Amino acid sequence: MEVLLVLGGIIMTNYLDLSLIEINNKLKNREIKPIDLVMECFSKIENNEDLNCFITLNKEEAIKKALELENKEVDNILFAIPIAIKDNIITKGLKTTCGSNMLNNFIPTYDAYVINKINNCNMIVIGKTNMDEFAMGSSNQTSYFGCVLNAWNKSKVSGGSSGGSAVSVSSRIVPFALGSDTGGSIRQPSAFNGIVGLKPTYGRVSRYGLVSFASSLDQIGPMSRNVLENSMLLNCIVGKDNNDLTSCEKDIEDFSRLIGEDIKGIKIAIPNFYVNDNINNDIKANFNNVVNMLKNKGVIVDYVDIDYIEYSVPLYQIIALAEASSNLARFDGIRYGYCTDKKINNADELYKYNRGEGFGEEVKRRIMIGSYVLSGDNVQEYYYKALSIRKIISDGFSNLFKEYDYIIGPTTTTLPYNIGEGQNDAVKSFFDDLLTIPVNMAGLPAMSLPIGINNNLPIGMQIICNKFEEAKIYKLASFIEKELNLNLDPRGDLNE
Amino acid sequence: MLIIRKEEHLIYVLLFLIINVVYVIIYIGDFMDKLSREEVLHVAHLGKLYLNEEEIEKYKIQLKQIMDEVNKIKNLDIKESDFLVSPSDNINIYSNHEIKQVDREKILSNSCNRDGSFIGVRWYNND
Repeated sequence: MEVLLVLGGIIMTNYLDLSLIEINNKLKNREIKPIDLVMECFSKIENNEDLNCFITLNKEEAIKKALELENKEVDNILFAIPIAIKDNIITKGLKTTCGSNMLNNFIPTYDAYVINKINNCNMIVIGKTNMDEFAMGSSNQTSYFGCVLNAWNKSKVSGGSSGGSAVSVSSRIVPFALGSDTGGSIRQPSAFNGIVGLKPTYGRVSRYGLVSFASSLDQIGPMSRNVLENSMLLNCIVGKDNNDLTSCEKDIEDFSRLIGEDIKGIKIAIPNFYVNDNINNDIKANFNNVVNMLKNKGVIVDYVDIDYIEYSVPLYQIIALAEASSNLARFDGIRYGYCTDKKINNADELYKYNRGEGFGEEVKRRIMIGSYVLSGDNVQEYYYKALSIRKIISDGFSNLFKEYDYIIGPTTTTLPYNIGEGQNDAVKSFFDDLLTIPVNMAGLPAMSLPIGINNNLPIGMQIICNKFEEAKIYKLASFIEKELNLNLDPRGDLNE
Repeated sequence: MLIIRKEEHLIYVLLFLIINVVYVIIYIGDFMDKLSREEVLHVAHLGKLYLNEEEIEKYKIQLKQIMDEVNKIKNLDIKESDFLVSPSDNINIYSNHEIKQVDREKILSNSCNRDGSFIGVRWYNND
């Protein structure tokens, strides 16, 4: 592979196009230095500035760390590998905005658990990625810092809310990014940008230091160029954390250990809801091709029903927004956050102006709905009822996993759409997550991986497993990835 | 002098009735598609949010769109009596109290109204 490119007289490397194992070998053999990788990232960020996938860069610290690592032994596969971090994961001394004016100048005083983990592996944080404000959105159009453009077509949305993370990986600026997934925020932008994104089992990765949106649904997960590398990042970030009550105690495992095993005889369920008439025909066609390929390889596939799964959107609107209204109550603009310049008469006015001016349109809309469903008798009529339906859906998944190894379906109902489309439709962003929400309700692990391309726009499918069976997801995903052999890379195809 | 024949009078009465029916339909239709100003201000108050006039008008429609979806749950007849509040199976155990040293200076620097070693709250009175 050609490793040096000459652009306008400046020598630019493309080491980051190599596989993780190849980069690791070059670092071990001292053919390249950590600083080469870091400088390549910042050079690519500069060349792709219009994608708007970063809010804050960590250039000075990244260079400093890269130089420090030159004298250390390469002791793990992620050593000196650059990574981008979604801007709702707090980073000590590095601005963390959540894509909001509310936290425009917020400098955290400690690191999130996952940041400590990637620091332990000596990965290098390149910067904080753009996202929908407080992770509320599925197109990255609600960010205070502007829309993120799709890596495959700059007139299309990137998806969200982890749009900046997905685009930074897809456009090959960084090999890895961390995202968070409350209703599909890792999987949906991964599908829209042709990369691999995993939402781990709820409790597998500590949420300590993740700015909460909906605490019973949020989960941090890895985003990468391919399946194997995704499993390597998951290996790094999992673990029991006493600072997160919901973090689970599990034995250390290698999530890549089942990759390459035979899939003949495995049983897969496809919920009829996942192939309903609202799903784009091109997406269904690509998904059906994969299903036929799996059948030809000896996989048993059945179509099944899950009770109440069609109510996922209103269920999410009640549970997620109720939790969000409570979680976001802490942002009063007094101890930290946006502060109004307006003349105010009392404390109530101060809170209302700080929050009214600091939050964007989508966030305010969601806080209001959440506050409403939790007020007075509405708790019985909406919230408790939603929790009962959540139990039924979760039980429905559990029952299916008694008989089947996997549940699969498309990740999204549509291909990436035009920027600005559906801006006046208050429910569109929820319906974008129609197929991803049920997984969060049940706390299951699920991955989106690319399965095709249509009109130069990527298509993704979801693989869902029972709780704590991520290794099985990697096994099937890796098989499909190998069979399809897509190697999606948007560079060269970007619309000028 | 204007003389209206009996047939014409009937037509005028009919026209008057039709116009009123159309007006009522439009009024009800408008009401059905929007929340009232009072309803929007009520939920904004619950969420401790100030809204300007433009936002109030916008949210009248948008909040109604979301509530139409949310009400699908309200209208369901559910037999299940158990709840799923969290997918975590962990038992709620409180961790031991632990004193951690924090950098006071760094914490204070995040406040926009710092007053020496305190966080100030801006306060204006009408008088």
